Amino acid sequence: MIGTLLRQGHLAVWVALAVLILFGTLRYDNFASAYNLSSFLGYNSMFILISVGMCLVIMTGGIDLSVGTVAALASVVAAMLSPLGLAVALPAGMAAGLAAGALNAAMITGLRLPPFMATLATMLAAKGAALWLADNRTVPVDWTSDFTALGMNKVADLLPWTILVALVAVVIAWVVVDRTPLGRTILAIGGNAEAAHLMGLKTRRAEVFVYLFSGACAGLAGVFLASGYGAGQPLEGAGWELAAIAAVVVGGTLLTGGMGSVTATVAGALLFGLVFNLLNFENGRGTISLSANWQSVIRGAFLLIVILLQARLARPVPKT
Amino acid sequence: MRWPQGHPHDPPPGGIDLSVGSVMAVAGALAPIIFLSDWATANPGLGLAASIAVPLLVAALCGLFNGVLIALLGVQPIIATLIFFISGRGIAQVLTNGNLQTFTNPDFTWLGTGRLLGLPVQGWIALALTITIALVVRRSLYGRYLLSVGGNERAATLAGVPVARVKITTYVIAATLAGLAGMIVVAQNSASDAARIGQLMELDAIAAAVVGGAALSGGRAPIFGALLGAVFIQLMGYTLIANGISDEMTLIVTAAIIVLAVWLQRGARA
Repeated sequence: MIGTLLRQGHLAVWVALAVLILFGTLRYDNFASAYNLSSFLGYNSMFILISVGMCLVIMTGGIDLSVGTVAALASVVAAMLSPLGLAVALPAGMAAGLAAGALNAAMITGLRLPPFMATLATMLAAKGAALWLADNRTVPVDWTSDFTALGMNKVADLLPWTILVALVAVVIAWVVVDRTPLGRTILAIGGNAEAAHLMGLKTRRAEVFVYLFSGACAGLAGVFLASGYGAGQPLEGAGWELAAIAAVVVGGTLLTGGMGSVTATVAGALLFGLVFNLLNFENGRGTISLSANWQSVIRGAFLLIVILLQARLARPVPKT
Repeated sequence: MRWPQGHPHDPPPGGIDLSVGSVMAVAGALAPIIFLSDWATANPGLGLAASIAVPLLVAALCGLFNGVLIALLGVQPIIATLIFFISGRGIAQVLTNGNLQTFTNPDFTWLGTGRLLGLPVQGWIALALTITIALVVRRSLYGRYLLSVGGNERAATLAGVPVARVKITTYVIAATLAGLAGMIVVAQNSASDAARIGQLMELDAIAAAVVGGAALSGGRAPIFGALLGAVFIQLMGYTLIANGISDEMTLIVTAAIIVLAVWLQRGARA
């Protein structure tokens, strides 16, 4: 019963996505162009990554507020090491993310701090570390090394490498959640942490995993940022954590944890990106002129609609 | 696909308001718009009153919106207040067209720069409000209700506490105070920049409340503790900067202090 409802909820995200794509294709000449598709996917690969990491964390009933500033930190680290090439800068950026994830995991599973507070502290600390490393400036990347290839090059002039790398992370998350004991433990923690622990599930290990995974995703998103836009940006990433939470919520994952879907989260992230893509095209036609200031208003309104729909959907779920 | 089902979660007790910074921006953007308008320049007295009353009212409406989503529709506080966190600043920027509004209006800037008996007016306002709220929380029926809802919502409901009304009132109060803070910031600077007013203020507020000892899970409300927490965090920031410690290191130290404060509180309760 609940499964059916949930699957309908997930279906709704995909249907909304399909309707918007169809609308865009019919209405705008260049919407379905290779250029729009590749720049859309390139930009949103960062948000897909952090949303998927956030999805796993939220499934355990936790939250990771640090993803935005951790991505900024990783972009600085990667940009500073970019002269050494992608083979060094990419793992280094991910390592920065993993370190932040390890810090979160230590505070949450070791000191038993509430995830909200622990990751809030990491959010501040990562921003401080990023500004300190970057000396309060953006850090230009080395264009002569192969570092920018990741963010700039495309497969067959269409698919950016970043979206392919992001897809690998999505597949890993999906396999873990749907096909492994670790994934069942993750969902069991969100369902009822104490019961999961009493059943003998390795809850601590699963919690450590989700925060490490989220940190690694944020680190990788930071590498994409530096590689695709040519600079390590210590002040970027503000509000990313909320965009990720919004994508997860739109994807039908309940914030209390215990259930959810990796694929629907990806759809949620794409849906958010698409709304802006369409607005840009509509602006381009001159029929409306919405300044950039409207973007966040519309994003908020969009989130409101989804929440209202979910409040209606979630209410009649009976106890099984 | 099947998801293991635990017992349906009880909603986590205690609320949170992520929208305070954005509400500050909305109120801070509205006030100059009103007193710079033609109508207000024609009626200075009424204009000044309106430029204080209307932004406070709008802020209160934002709080009402948060409260209704949370109390009546059962949306989690972090998600409900996320809506205004995202869009509130955008609304402020749409109102001002994204422009910086500068002004000279001695009556209004008195709110931020004036002095009374040698102390800044804004300090008096903060002190008066702190005392009022502490009294309300400790002495009034609403205060009793508030702590019972935070302590154990289900028990409070069973005991006949009007939980929804208490929650809505609380978010309205939080938003109205945020609106006032936004106007004070604008009055202080004689300028209103919708993109910057109250930015990251929700984090400072949470940190101050936690350092001051408000349990994040709700049920306790040391109002003077929160005041001390806010003063402590500000003083620490100024001290570090005055001693040549950079801004970014201050962020890291703040993070460490939050962790320490939360950890110590867990120890005290266990």
